[in-house]
Amino acid sequence: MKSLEDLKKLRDQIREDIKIRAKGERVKITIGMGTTGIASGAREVLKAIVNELEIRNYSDIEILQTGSIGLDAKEPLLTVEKPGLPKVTYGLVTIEMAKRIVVEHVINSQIIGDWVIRSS
Amino acid sequence: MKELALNILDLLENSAAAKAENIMLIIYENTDKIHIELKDDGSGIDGNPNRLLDPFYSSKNKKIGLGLPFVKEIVTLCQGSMDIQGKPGSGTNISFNLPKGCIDLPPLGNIVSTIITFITLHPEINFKYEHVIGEKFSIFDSQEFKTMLEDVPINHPKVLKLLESYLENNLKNLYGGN
Ligand SMILES: Nc1ncnc2c1ncn2[C@@H]1O[C@H](COP(=O)(O)OP(=O)(O)OP(=O)(O)O)[C@@H](O)[C@H]1O
Ligand SMILES: [Mg+2]
Repeated sequence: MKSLEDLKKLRDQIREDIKIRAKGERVKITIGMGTTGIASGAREVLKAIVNELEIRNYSDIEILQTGSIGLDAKEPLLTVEKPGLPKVTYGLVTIEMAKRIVVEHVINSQIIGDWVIRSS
Repeated sequence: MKELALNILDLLENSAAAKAENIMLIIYENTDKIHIELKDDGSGIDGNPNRLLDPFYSSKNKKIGLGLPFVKEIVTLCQGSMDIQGKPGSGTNISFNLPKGCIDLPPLGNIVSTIITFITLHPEINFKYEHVIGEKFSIFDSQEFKTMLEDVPINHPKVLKLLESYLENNLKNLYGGN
């Protein structure tokens, strides 16, 4: 960002974009950000998610965090809730997995069964 | 933790869990030491603050809490110092000092990534960050950005990308640059 003008320009672009694109159905992603999650790479996983969302221009999403949920050995943990699909939790999520989860599950509604450790 | 920035993220998450609305992170570095300070206006600490350093203490729904003991471990290994202050109703202030020469000292690491992660997850918290290196300093205040953004969320992926490059640039100037 070189100036405040850049920020204002981006703000106005995003506003227009939201008007055109927003479908009203928000996907909810929850990432484990307790001590174990952080030590296992949750920060990098989240970064990959945000980066992929930015590239795909997808922002109908809510990103939340949770502390330990008793599955420490499977951290980093990522839970995805998309309207119309079961809520699923992916375990031992890597940066590469995170990118695919965004594209296949969050955007294209295809759950990646092999990586799911819990489903409800 | 591989980076002090990851310990910092962990402490920031503690502040968020304590329902802080305002958080300030100060990093002060010179050639021989690094000082890190976190102030929040969350629930504060009931009782003796030092018991939080005990891994067998956690107010969360589990038996152990490792965030603060991890920091304490580095402080002990490097013979630095650490201070926790906080009373119920007046927030919490955690600071620690570490000598840079210590072989067990993890690098500061990616502090920008820590801040971006925290803003992604807690857009409603007003987050201030001050980084001082020798004579130079930089200040960031998320509230200023939020004011400018009006109704557009600060954790929109495109805003985060811009914020990241903004913070990276500030840091580059701080560490020498030109
Ligand atoms: N900023 C803060 N404000 C109020 N209470 C705090 C703060 N930081 C820590 N605490 C208290 O200290 C306890 C221990 O913190 P610590 O980070 O060591 O473990 P934890 O957060 O419980 O678990 P985790 O291992 O996931 O970090 C917390 O449960 C909380 O009660
Ligand atoms: Mg903690």
